[in-house]
Amino acid sequence: MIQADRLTKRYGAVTAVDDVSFEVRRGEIFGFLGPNGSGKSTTIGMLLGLVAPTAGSIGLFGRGPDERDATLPRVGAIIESPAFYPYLSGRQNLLALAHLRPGVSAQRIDEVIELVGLSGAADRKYSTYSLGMKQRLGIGWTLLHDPELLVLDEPTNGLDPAGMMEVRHLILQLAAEGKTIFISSHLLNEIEQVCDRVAIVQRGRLIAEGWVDELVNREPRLLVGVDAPERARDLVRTILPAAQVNVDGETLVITGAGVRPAELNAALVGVGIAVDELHTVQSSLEEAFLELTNGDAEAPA
Amino acid sequence: MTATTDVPVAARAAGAGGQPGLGALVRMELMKLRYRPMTWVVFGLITALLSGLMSLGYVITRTMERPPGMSLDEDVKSFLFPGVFQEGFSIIGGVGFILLVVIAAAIIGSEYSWGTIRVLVGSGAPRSRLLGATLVTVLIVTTALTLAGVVAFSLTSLGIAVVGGHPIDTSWLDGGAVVDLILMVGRTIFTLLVPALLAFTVAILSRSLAAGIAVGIGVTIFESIVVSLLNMIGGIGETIADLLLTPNIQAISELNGIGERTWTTDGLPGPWRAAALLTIYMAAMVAACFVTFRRRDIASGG
Repeated sequence: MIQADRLTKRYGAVTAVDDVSFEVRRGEIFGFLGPNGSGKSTTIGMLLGLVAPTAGSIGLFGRGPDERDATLPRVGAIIESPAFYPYLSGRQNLLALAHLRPGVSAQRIDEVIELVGLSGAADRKYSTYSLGMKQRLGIGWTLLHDPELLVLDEPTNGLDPAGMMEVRHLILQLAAEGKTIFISSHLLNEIEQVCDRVAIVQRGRLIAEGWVDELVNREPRLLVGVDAPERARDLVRTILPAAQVNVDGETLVITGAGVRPAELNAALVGVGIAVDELHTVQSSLEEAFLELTNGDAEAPA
Repeated sequence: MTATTDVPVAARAAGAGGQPGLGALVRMELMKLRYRPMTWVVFGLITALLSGLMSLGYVITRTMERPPGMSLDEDVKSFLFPGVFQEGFSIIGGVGFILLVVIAAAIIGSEYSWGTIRVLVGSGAPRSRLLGATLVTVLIVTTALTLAGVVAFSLTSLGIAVVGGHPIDTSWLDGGAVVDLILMVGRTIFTLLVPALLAFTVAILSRSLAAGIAVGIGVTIFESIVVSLLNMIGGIGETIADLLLTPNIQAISELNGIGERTWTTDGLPGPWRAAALLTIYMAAMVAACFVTFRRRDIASGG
C-alpha cells in the first residue's frame, strides 16, 4: 500500500528525513514511531504530496508519486494537529470539505459524526471544541469517503484515557473491516496495543522496522531474587557465558539467549543460594525503542 | 466515540472516490465565505459606507450656502440619476478596494494561518484546481461586491430623491445607458481585481494573510505619493509613473459615468494602454500564484 524508497528530505543544511525505506502492506496497522522532530510528519507530508522529496520516492497502491492525483483520493489523512475552519461547526466543516470528496452524501456525514461521537457537538463552532473533540472531527474527516488507507498523525493526542481507548477500538474495528492504517505517534504504549508492525525513526533515519511482537520479545529478561547476589552473578556468568548479568539490589537481571529458568534455579539452589523469586519479563516497546536508540533519543512517551 | 455503534465504519459513500471538479471546489469556497462573518461585515460595510457617504454628502450640499446663480438642483446632481453613477462607482472603487483586498487575502491567507491548507492539498485535489477555484471565487466576490455597491447607491439615490423632493429622472434610461452601465460594472470589477489579486498573490507568496492585506492596501497608498513625486520630476519620472498601478486604474475608472462627467482623464495613460498593462500585471500575478502554489512544499514540522 505504501512503498517508501530511500526517501530523503533536506532543508538547506538540515536533513529532516534521511534515506528512509519501508513498506506498509495491505490490511495491516503500521506504526511510525519516533520522538518529536524525528521526521515523522515530514515523511507523512511526502506521502501526501505536501512536501517534495529531495531524493527517493514514496508510492501508494503500487503507483508512483507522479500518480498522486489518482491515488490520494483513496487515502484519508490527518497530518499534525487537526485543522478546520474555526467559524464553522463540526458538521459545516465536514459539509464544506465533502466537496473535496465526490459522492459523499449528507447522510454519510451524519453517520461519521455519530461514529466519532460528535453528535451532541456537531452544530457547535469548531473554535469551541476541546482538543479531543478536534481529534474526533479529524478522524471523522478521514473516514468521510470510506478510504482504503488511513494515515493518522498522532490520532490520540489530546484525548483522555477513555477517548484513547475508543480510538484504539475504532482503529481495530477499521482494520477488521479491511482498512490499512498508518499511524504516526510518539506514544509507544498506544502503538504497541494496536499495531502489527512498526518502523522507528530517529533524527530522520530509520533505525528499525519489524513486527511489534519481534521487537518487544527480542530480549526477554529473567529476574532472579537471591540472598547472595554477588555469588549468584559469578555462578551465572560461569554457566551462561553469553548472557548479560547485572545486579540490582538482591535481584539478578539476566538478558540473553539460552536462559532456562528451571535449570538456573536448580544450579543456584545446588550451591546453596536461596532463590526467592524468579520470573521472565517481556520487553515493552518503549524498552525496545530505548535499546535500539541506545537511550540516545529524546524518548517518546 | 461510538466504535460499537451499528453504523458500519466503512459504510459505502455512494460513488465516492476520484477528484473533485472545479465547480465543486468553487462551491466549497463559496460555502466557506457564506458562513464566514468577515464576508457579511465587508458587504455590510460597502453598503453602509455608500449609503452613509452619499447621504452625508447630500445633507452637506443641501445645507451649505451657495453663490448667487448656483441652484440646489445643479449641486445635488451627483446624488441623483444619472449623475450618481459617476459618484457611486467612484466610492465603490475607493472604499471597495480596501474591503476586497481584505477578503481576497483572507480567502487564501487564512488557509495557511489555520493550517487547513494541509487538509485541502492533502486530500488529493490537484493543486492547480484548488488555486483555480480560489481565483474564481475572488472574481465572484469582486463582482458581488460591485453589484452590491450598485444596488446600495441606486437605492440611496432613490431615497434621496424621494426624501429631498427631487424628480426621479428616467429620460437617460435607454439601450445606450444600459450598455454604459454594463461597461461601468465591468470596468469597476476589472480595476478592483488588480489590488485584490495583488493581495491574493502576496498572501500566497508570504503564506500570510496580514502580509497580503498590508501590501494590497499599502501599495495603493504608497503609489499615490510616489506618483505625485514622479510627476513633479517630469520626463522619465512621468514615464515610470505611467507604469504603476494607480494611474492606470484611475485611467479606466474615470471613464465611468452616464451623460455629463465632471472628471477628465487628462494626464493619465490612455484607457486601452492602461487596460493592456493591468492585464499583463494580473497575468503575471496569476502565473506567480500557480508556479508557487504548485511547486512549494506545504511545510510541516516533526
